[in-house]
Amino acid sequence: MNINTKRRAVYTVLSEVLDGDELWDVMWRWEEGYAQKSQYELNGFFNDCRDLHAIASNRSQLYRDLIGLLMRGTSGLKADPISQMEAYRQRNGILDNPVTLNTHEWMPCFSAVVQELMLQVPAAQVQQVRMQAEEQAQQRGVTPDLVYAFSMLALGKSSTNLLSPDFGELKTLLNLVYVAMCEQLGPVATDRILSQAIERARKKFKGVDARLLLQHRTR
Amino acid sequence: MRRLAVVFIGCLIGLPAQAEESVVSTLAADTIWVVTAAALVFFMQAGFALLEAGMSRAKNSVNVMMKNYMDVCLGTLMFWLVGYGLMFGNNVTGYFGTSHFMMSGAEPWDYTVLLFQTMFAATAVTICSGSMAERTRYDAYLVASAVIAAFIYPVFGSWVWGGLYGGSGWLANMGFIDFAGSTVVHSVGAWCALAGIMVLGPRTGRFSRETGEARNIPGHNLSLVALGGFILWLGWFGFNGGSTLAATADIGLIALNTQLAAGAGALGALLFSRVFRVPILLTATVNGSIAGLVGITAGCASMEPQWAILTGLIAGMIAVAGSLMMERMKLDDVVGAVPVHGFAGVWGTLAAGMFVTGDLFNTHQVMVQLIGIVAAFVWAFPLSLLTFGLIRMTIGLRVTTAEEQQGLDVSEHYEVAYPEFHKDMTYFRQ
Repeated sequence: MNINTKRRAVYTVLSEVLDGDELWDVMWRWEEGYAQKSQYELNGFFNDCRDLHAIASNRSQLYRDLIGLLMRGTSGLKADPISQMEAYRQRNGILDNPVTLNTHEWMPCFSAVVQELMLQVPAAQVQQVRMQAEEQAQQRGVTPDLVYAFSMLALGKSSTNLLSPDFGELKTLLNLVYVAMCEQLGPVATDRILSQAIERARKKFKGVDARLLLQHRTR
Repeated sequence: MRRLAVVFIGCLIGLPAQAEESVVSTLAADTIWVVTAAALVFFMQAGFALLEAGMSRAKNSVNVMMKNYMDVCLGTLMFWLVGYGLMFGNNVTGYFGTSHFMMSGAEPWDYTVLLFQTMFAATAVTICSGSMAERTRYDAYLVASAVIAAFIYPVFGSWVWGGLYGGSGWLANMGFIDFAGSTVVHSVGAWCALAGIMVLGPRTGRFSRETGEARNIPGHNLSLVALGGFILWLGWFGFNGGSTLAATADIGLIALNTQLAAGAGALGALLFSRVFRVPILLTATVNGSIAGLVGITAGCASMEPQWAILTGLIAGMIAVAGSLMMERMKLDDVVGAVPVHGFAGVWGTLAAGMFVTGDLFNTHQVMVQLIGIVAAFVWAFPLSLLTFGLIRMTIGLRVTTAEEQQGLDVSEHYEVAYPEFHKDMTYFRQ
């Protein structure tokens, strides 16, 4: 299941008990902390939101409803609220998350990181890294366009015109490339190569901080 | 004659008072020794923390330290709450104790024993920490740690050391020898660790997916490893010596055997590495000495020094061979705790049965030792497998690959150990 569908499901359930800024604030908590995680961790999400009475008092019901929706697929889901979420952030001047404010800048940065990584992988192993990352990305529901764009990059060709990819998906895909490289080269070499790639991208793209591609929510 | 009679009567009157005074001073001396030994065993936690942190990558060192720190805290509370009662309480059945839970209003000596045994419980628990390093969720680990300290360790302990307040454990009744816990503390901890690493799986990239080849993931600070090894060695004098629970002359032999076995363990690791043309690593040498210490723990009070040396020497070899075997089985034990505490613990327990002073190679004793060794595995391994399995199914045991890449210091604690020296920026902290 891709992140858009998951976001719609969370929104569908939460909008029954929350509204206004409170709703968008909680949606962002999910987006930044749980969007990449499995549905088994949603209990943790509701636990993190226990400061809100509307959630604390309906926690088990909300959890059941959400799991039910996720099981059913897309039927009965409200529309993706991402634009309203972004509007909320812009309205409140929350600029600490540059992700949604300049999505078009992330693809070149991501591409540079991936290309740099692939340059460091021995030629004999590039194919395996690419195939493993692709396979895992498809299983995780990463948008096919983005997977294709990655394949092109891994093959040393220029990326497609994918202008505004989901930032969460970029992070997921980069992590999958990291895992595939760990399998091929070992974690020590991979950590070093990844660090170098991120540092180079940081210097090259001043508008975005490439390190954010590695940022994941802390518990 | 009259003077003699006066002296004799005077002695008769004075004897009970002197005897009472002697008992009081003996109790005081015992208490001072056992509390000092408890402090030494407590210090071993610092050794474990340094050793494990040094063997882990820099990005996970805070997490390793935190786990060791909380093992003591949580283990202490859980052992006071239920562990001590289960382990040392009135043991009518021979399988678990039923009194002295949440001890209070007891005799001073009871508090002394509780304190000393609490340190042992914390040691058993902390063995898991290093094995499962670099990919375990912090909160999940603490839940498992609490279960081990409160239930898995004390129940087995009651079979061997139980019945301080009546009754006795079934293994003790059979004559099982485990003076300071090669099996009770170390093997039990190691079997829990083995279950943990089996449920967790190896660190990402530790083994090649295609060939199964093991990839070396060096620790970030070998100086910490050596320092940790020295601290553990020091603490072991309290671990073994304090197990007399009395300030007696036996402590000399126990401490000497401890020292000899540790030295022989390091030598055993070196010899094994030389013979099998494996690089002589600092980590293997330190682990060899610790394996020697684990090995002598069971029989340190009941064997002569030459046997202690042999016990340590073989334990050191077992530690290195065991690590290689674990790698071949694709079991990722970050610090080698299973070979060091588990395999060497098994050997040490057998050695304790074989090398009893004045009763060498008694087949019956060896059989009893074997029964105890198997019982420890059959009890601790499946139960901890179940514990870790349940944790994995409910709250999750393993961090995500993204968190693994980022490092557990940031993902679990939002803290980095070396903010100014960390060269590989694989994490990001706002």
